[in-house]
Amino acid sequence: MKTLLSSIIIFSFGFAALSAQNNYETAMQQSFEALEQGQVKPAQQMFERIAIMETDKWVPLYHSVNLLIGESFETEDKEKRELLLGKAKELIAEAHDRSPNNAELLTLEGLLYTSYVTSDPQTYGMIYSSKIAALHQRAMQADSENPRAMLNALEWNMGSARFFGNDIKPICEKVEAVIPMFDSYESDVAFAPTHGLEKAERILADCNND
Amino acid sequence: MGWGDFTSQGISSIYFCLNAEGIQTEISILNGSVAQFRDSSDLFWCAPAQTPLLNRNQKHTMRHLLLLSVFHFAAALAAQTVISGVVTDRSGEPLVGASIFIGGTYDGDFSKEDGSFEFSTSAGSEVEVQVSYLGYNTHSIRAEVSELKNLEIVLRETITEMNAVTVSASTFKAGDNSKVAVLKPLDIVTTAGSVGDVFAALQTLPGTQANPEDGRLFVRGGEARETNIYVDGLRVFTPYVRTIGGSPTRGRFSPMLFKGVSFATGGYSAAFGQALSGVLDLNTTDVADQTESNLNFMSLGAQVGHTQVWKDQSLSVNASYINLAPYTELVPTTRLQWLKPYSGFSGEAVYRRPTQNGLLKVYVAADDNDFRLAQENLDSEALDTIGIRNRNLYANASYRGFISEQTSLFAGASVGFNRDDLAIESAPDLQQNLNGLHARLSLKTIWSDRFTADYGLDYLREYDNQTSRHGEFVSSRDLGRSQVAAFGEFNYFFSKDLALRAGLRAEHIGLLDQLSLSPRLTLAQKVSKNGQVSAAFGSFTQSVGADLLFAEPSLAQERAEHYLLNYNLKAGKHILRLEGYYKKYRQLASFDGSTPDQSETIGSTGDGYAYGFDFFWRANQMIKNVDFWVSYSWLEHERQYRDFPTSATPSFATRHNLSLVSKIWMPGLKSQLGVTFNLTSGRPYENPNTVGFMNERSPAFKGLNLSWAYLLDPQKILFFSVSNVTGFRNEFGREYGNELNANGLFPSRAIRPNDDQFFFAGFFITLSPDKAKNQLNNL
Repeated sequence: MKTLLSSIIIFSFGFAALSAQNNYETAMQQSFEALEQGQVKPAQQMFERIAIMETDKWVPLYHSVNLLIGESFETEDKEKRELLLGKAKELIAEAHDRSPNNAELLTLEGLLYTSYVTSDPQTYGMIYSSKIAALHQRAMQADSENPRAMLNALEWNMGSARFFGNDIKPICEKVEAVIPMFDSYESDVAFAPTHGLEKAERILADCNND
Repeated sequence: MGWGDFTSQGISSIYFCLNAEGIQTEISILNGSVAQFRDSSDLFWCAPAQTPLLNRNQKHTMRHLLLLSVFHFAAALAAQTVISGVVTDRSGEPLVGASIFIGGTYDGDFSKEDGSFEFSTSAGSEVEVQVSYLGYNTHSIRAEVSELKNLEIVLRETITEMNAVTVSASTFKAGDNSKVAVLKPLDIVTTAGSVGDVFAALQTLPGTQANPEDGRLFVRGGEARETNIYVDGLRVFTPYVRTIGGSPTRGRFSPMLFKGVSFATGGYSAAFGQALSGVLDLNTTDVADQTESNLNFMSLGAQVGHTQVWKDQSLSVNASYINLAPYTELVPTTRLQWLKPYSGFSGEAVYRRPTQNGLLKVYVAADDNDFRLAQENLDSEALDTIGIRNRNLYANASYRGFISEQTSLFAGASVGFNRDDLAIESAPDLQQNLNGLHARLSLKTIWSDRFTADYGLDYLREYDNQTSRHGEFVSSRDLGRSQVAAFGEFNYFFSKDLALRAGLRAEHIGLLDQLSLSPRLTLAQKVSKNGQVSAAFGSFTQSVGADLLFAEPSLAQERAEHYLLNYNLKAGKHILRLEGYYKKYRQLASFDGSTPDQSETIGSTGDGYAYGFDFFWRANQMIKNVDFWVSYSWLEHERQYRDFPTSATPSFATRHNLSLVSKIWMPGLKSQLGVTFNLTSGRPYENPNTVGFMNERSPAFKGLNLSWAYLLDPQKILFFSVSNVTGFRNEFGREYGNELNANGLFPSRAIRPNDDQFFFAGFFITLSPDKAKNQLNNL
């Protein structure tokens, strides 16, 4: 009898957990679909919503922040850009709390500050350049296999090499070396970011155009 | 296939769902994503595969579907209630894409083109609906589910620093991105003529009077001591390096340790007291990003710096050695007769440590320098030797952090010890000590985005000692003084376009056992998207200087009232500021005779006024790769200044001040060229050989400064600068001897800069152990 009761209890709890897990997965997939259809804003808000519901998951925050940063790069309106990046900063701080020393999040934060720098290099260049370099460095230390961490660090170095008129060829070669890593890299976290290959190919194409 | 099988499929292979009878179906996928089905008494839903796994046809189908309402999966079909409404802003415009959710559930929707939303929920009884939209305050409604129909939700725009009117618009800021920021962090280093000195860079802003032979900040007719300098909100007692008359002084700080500067030329907050004219607050960087070292080689000396970053704490140290001797050998243009050219050591350290809810910072600076030179005595025509050694130690520690959701605490203290030893040939040796302590405790409460309050306590103690030695004869005098102040100030936003700041400062002055009250008021109104007008009034008090208090300790506080009207526009590439002001001085210390000590009548009977107009325009990239600013100040000022027999314009107050600063980036040369031009109308000076007082004016001051920074690579910079390239012959008035010469006149000589031109060369190297690069080398 006792065994039966405990099985029921375990079963019920397990069920509740699975049910919640299903909600999460469903919601995540819906968000990706919205994104697939170009519904960037709703997708971003859905990820944010999921993050509110699933208080132990960093992945929805990652995607939400990634979309905010993406939008910020395309926004000319400075006030709007500050709003987007302000929100992104808030969410990424929460994500770091949920998953400290996470290479994906550190890389993403590097991208966040890169958006600040591109919006106003004279104000933010000096303040954030070393921060960005440090974030890339930490990301690669946290996960030396992560292709996105590598690629963003290389992209940043390339920008600076172009600015100073240095040879970008060694960097291009490294970008080439990163490309197979996108295939081999596997994360055990569901819905973990997989993007970056197209960007790597684009950077490489730019290399060849020079 | 039961639910167990279904979930065990994991996210990558869910291509289908189960219907009510447990039969698998593909409808759900085609339906956009979600199907709901019933399995005996339980309800499940399933979802399609992750987007990368969708084939083209599926993607195509899905494009026709509106996904805005994809979150319509409720927990139970049994009791579905529909929630609907519309979201608008205050003007009634629909907000598209606002998110509307029931707290604690996935039930919700995003508003459509017309602002409308509709979704169903199985949540029973009372729920909380949360409506949020980026840039707007989140709105929540708590009600019975059944009542949540045809809701009309009006969201209010969040008041942020970016979109709202700024109440401190008459403050110049550097380093942050607020609308009142006029200088960028790099400007301090790259403004031609500043040579890395914060104060020199600030003198290209309106409201300051250029005093190139002095170097200190003179604000709107105020003498230098009327502008107080703070580091992280804590007072610096002796901010300027000791120099000899005619050579401009510099700040004791290296600009790279600071992330921002806030410079108020009037009407400042009640948090600051004991300053009649201006407040300059320098903020040290909050966090260091990476471990790095700096090596700077300069024509005047060398500097090494190192920043060490641990897990979250960091320490930056800086040490420099300056020696003017090689320069004076190589460039013998100076009028000074150095016996021992200026040389000295200085060091600084900043330690930062984040705590759970705040940040602890410690800043320490020390320096020791000396020089000796010979100067012609106008009366005896002999040479007097003057030697000065200055030693200074300054330290401050502060903590800033949240003590509750709404309230942040600032607690800090600074101490300063300054000692000057003066050896002047024909006079007794003099040792001057100034020790100071400033402690501050303040709270900031954020009641809402519209209402914030600051309140706190300030304690200031200063101790002066002067000892003179003439052979066996030693005389010493000292003076201690302290004051306690309490202040409170609130900011209230009537809307994002109209804001009020009102504050009151009460100070108790120990020496006088007297309480003074200083009200401050600022009203700011946004007049266009990027433009705003603000008006400010403030009452300010300041104790008189130690030299006067030694003579008469009961001298009243000097007082000033400021009235300001400011227009501020920051749009695109342009920043424009116009400000008119009127400043009334009262209770100024005045005396007769040449020094306060020898005076028979010393009192607080002086008064004065200053009024004028400031203009500032900065345009970045209006011309490609060119950034420039123009500042102009017009000042009318008269006061009873110290021993003045009548009200007059003191020599440091000039009527017209014009600065043109430009920075030209030359990508091909990887160089930045800096050009600064200053034009200042003549200085008033007193000629005892004529009737009247302070009626003479020196010729206008002109200076054209050039600087060139060459970036060898991101971490190596070569820097050259020349002041007064064209070699204008500048004069700052005349000085007169005390004894009549053979012609029955007082002898005189022009006051000239010690150096007509100044050359500087430096090589700055940053060394960072870039582990990122090492990691990338493994590829």
